[in-house]
Amino acid sequence: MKKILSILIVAVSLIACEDKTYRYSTVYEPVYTSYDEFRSSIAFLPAQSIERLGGLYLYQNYLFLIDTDKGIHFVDNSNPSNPIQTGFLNVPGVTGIEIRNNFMYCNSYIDLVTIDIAALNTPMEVNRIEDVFPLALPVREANYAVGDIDKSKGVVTAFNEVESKEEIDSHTSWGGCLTCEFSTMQTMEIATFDASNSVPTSGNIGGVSGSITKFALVNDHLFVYDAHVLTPFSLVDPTAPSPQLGTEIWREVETLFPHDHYLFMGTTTGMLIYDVQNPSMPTYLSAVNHVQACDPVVVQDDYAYVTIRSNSFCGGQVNQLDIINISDVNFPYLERSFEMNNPHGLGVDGNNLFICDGDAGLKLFDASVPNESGDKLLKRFKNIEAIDIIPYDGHAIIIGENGLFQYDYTDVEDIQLLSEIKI
Amino acid sequence: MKALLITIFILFSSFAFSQYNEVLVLKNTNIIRGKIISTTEEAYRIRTKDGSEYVYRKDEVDHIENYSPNMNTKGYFFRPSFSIAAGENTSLSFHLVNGYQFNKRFDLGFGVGLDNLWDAYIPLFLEGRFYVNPAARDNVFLTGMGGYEMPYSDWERSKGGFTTGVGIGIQHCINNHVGITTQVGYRYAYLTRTEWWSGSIIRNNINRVEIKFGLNIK
Repeated sequence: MKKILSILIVAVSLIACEDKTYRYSTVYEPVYTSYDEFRSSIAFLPAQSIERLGGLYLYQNYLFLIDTDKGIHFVDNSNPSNPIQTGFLNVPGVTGIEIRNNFMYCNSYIDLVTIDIAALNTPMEVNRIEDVFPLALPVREANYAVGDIDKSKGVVTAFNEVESKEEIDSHTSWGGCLTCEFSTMQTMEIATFDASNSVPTSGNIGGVSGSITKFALVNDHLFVYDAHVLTPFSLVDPTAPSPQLGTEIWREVETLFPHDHYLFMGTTTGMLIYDVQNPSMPTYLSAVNHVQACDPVVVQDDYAYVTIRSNSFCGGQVNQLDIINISDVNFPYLERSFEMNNPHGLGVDGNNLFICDGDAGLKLFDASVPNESGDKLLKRFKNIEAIDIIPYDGHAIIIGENGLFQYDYTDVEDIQLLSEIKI
Repeated sequence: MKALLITIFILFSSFAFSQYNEVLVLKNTNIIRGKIISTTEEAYRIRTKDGSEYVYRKDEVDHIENYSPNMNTKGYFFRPSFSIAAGENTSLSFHLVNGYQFNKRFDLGFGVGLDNLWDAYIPLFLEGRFYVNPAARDNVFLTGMGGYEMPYSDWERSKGGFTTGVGIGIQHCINNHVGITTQVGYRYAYLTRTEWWSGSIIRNNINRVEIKFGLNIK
């Protein structure tokens, strides 16, 4: 009897000894805008001050600066020494754009909107595909969890930060990123651009976008990544993009970069290559994995240049430049890695490789021998804390925390500041 | 391995010394510990552990008693211990405590070690004991501890936290310098960590039933 009693006491004690684990966190509580109000809000307004640069796009003589979630600044860049802001297109929820043949395609939270910019002073919305990005949310400053969303109330266009306490499983793993969704990684990061960011078809006029954008043009298709889905849109009728069946991508894609009929995806765990020759059925080809980190990618010839950056969003402990040989897209391999400070965007133009290396400034490397480029630092501009850069034909367009800067690097020994628009 | 050899040595020594557990208490208050190898009508012959033999007349001897080791005297101590703590999860701990026994009932020491609780932690704590029957060879004691769980790694996100515990145990004195202890008790820890991906604060209340084995060395 005593034995049974002892066993019972021990058993009850053990059962009673439960661990209690609580998460104290800030949660984003959704703020809604009615569908009618949201969908009637696109308007072209006089030039406005830039609040939060999230991307840039070069199209002919115009620069389009994305003010994250707010709209697009139109900048007449006919004279890079004197860029002129001509207006502001109010597009709530915009984080990326592509332009072809005077049609601008941009996201507006859950919708894809087509804007006719043939007349740059009077851009007009000509098409809207509703609810094509159903999980899109406003860009968040922090990686807080998002509260329950009631889509019947409208579109989530903002968040209130509220404190919460919840009991969680005490076995919670510390790996992973539970709230890394589509818009999360778009925070304040900007793309790097190659001179051929979009792959044009004959007779089409395209622009140059950034490497951290989740938009890409390949031939007659626009590709947009959102919430683990890569959606192709046929542009056969450029005024009315036609969405195709999306492809699930089970990695956290940060950037799309088109090259030939391939899409290079920078993800938080590596670079992916998809064949989009059949645009309605993107096909996975290969991957080069790396540790958890932010990972923009640009491509030139047989090499992909990948910057791997650690931060609170992407995690990781590594900051480096990876040079990946993609001469066989089915079997890409890492050739060299070079230590960096905190690399953001990057861009390559011929033998010039630019890397926006955080506090360490803007760095220019000689990429004539790609796998030695990280060892061949030509110039370092400590005072340019850039987020992203478009190096294009001797002309560098740079966005940073403080605004837009343009440089002439036709002579890399004597790089000249052309202009700046400060935030 | 070293600890195992030391333990074996102590146990072996204990066995060897247990052959000399008779004590002649003389009327002049001296005591002679050894083995009484013969008794006559007039005297006792006793052999001490160094092999010496002594003869005492019976009228010199006050009484004979068995030797009973006891550690509960003033002085410094050192206590290594190993514990298994069970509950919703199971954890292992290894502690080293250095301290001072103030009188036959109370001691207090400072401890350090390794706790495998939520993550690995280095506990920095105070531990005290109250001996219920200090005169006995097998001492029952009550014990309590409390301190800080310092993160073993990932200092940026792991903040450690508070820990405390209470227990009851028994100490078997092998001799006046070494005792073996076994105790059961309750262990609690309140640990904090920041999630790297969200910045959220995670606080874990850990509750365990703890079984601890150790040595007490003076």
